[in-house]
Amino acid sequence: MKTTTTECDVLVIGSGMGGLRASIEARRAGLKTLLVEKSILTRASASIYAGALVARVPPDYLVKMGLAEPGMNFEASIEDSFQYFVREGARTGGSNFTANQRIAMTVACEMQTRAEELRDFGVEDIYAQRWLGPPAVYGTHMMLPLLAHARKIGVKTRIMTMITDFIRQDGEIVGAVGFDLRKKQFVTFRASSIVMATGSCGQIYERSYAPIRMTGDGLAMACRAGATLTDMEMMGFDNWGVALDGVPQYWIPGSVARTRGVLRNAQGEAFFLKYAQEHRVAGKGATLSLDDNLSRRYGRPFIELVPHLIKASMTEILEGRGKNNAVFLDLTKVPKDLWNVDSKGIFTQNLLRGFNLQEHPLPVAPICIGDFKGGGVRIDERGRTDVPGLFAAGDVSPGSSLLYALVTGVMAGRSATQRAHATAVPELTSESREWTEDQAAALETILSRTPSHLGDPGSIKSRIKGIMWKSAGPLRDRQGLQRGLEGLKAVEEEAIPNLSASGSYRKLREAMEAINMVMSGQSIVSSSQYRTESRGYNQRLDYPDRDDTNWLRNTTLTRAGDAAMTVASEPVDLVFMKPEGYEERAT
Amino acid sequence: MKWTAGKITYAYDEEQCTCGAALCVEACAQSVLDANEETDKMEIVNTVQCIFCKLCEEICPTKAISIQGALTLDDVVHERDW
Ligand SMILES: Cc1cc2nc3c(=O)[nH]c(=O)nc-3n(C[C@H](O)[C@H](O)[C@H](O)COP(=O)(O)OP(=O)(O)OC[C@H]3O[C@@H](n4cnc5c(N)ncnc54)[C@H](O)[C@@H]3O)c2cc1C
Ligand code: SF4
Ligand code: SF4
Repeated sequence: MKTTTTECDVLVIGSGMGGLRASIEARRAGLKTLLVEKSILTRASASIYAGALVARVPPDYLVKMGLAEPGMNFEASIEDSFQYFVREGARTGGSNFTANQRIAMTVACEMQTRAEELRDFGVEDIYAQRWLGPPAVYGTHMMLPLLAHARKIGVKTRIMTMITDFIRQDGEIVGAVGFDLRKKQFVTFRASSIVMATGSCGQIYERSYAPIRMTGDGLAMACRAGATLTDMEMMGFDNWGVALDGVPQYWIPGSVARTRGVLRNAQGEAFFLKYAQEHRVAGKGATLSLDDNLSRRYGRPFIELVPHLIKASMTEILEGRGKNNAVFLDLTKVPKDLWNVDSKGIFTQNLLRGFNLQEHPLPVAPICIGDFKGGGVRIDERGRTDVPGLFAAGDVSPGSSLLYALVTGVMAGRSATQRAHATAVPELTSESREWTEDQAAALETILSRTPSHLGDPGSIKSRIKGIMWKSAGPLRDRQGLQRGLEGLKAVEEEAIPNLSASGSYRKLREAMEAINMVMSGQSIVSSSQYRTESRGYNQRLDYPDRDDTNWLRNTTLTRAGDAAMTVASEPVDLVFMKPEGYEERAT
Repeated sequence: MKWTAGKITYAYDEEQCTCGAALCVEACAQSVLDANEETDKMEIVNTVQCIFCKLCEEICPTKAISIQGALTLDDVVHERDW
């Protein structure tokens, strides 16, 4: 078994927006910066799929598309952006008031500057709205110039190298271990600071459109290294996932399709009309006319309607009023001229391979967005995790969007830089060296184990995804979540010990991803079980209401050594803003 | 090898597939492509999941992949002023 050791000041893991931006920050300060990626640079990231840096969405556009009402300001003063982040959540963490308000404020304050600064790094059109409009290499207009800039200023890169764990010494992170898929060798890194920007765990669900490498590696590694995960129950879902045989299970980004369509069940009933009345979703001035766009129809901003639409669709499906686990999106009455302004519609047309949306209702069902979520490795407003030496940026921390990855990339990069200036690259103790050898031996075992169906990484991943969708999908309850935990435990005890990579380093990557998926899954299910209310993306059938009296709290997950994970919660620090009518409660 | 979906054609020329690193497989987020362990050439394994993002075509250094017929922005009237 061959292991090589590499030393640097700042080690950055992941070449999406968060990782690239953090590495530029460290390198600008003159530090020896190494960016490690388990695939090739940028192309496996979620960042390459993000069409727009939403730091300045023109309000006219949003109003026209029914995504906002006149008067809502997305040109966005710092104050407005901050309020939006906290109320809505997900983009900067949490969901409906559980976001870390200091981080939300930092993102709001810095977004314009950080976006404009991208021009200095060679990004020409920073506000380009390339939402899934072909030539369909979307985020390339940002990610490729950024990568070129990072290289130009001397960031070193190492591709096809998967990090599998962090080296912890005297309570601090001093390095990482992993393997190089091309050179077929095990690797050890020593660094003064480590920034992880490893993205989300969206692959955890059967129905998901997260890119395949989004397996929650960073979440699992951080947790094993003693860092705290927070609000993991807040995984994002979208209502418009295609559910038609022979076409990809993907989302429909087209805003016309999303805002103009009428959802119908198998009997043809426009079921959301009834749901909206029964659940008092309709706001003031709702027209309840199917000819209007969604926000006018129901008198509420589009973004507030989404969780209700998901709940209603799932209910139809679960109660047997759908067809083949789907409901129908009826766009047959949408006026033709509206389609022509919809650039995202092109993507949908390509995706649907000739299926004519203007003639037939399309089977749709909720789907995991993968990137839109409120949970992750807990960081403070300077990108620091709870463990000295370990920093995090982007989707691996609680929040998700290109903008959040950009700003937290700067935060984490800067804090990592400060530490690296103050701390020499640590030597490994003999105990740590022994530990790294054990890790390499464990990888070797998986690599050389006799293959079996039970231990096949691909089958294990499918098993996890099925369990997660059934137990901790868009609608949850106590029994389902319990079954989910039991299912994951069975995978952990029966399948993981048999993991086999059949001598292939590609399969070894799959195998290690599967291990991380089990852990991410357990964290989602346990936190969801713990939060006995419905808020944002944690919709519980047995606790259907949002409960601000007891649950303006963040769930936390920690693991000491090899012990099981412990779930707890802490009050949200409502430092800048409280929900309307909220009375502070002694805790 | 060629496959079609609606008006779109995805063509792959195995003879030109010589990068030896299966770069397109790494670029494909949808598990449409897989790498042959021995040759490191790409194999098309699941056409149904292809979203025509063209990242495979973009990364291929030898132009072994060509995706034709997908609608593009230029094919529709859309407002550029926002
Ligand atoms: C289809 C789609 C459309 C989107 N559209 C938008 C949009 O229009 N606007 C917007 O703001 N946001 C959008 N998002 C969300 C946005 O893309 C993400 O929030 C953001 O890109 C996250 O950046 P990141 O750097 O944190 O992670 P990523 O960009 O996901 O990068 C993570 C990188 O880490 C690597 N990695 C992971 N684990 C390891 C490991 N163990 N070792 C080494 N490397 C590892 C991965 O391979 C990957 O390259 C979209 C997401 C998707 C999926
Ligand atoms: S990138 Fe091109 S040359 Fe390389 S494996 Fe793919 S098709 Fe072949
Ligand atoms: S176009 Fe995109 S989804 Fe299709 S094979 Fe290429 S990379 Fe994969």
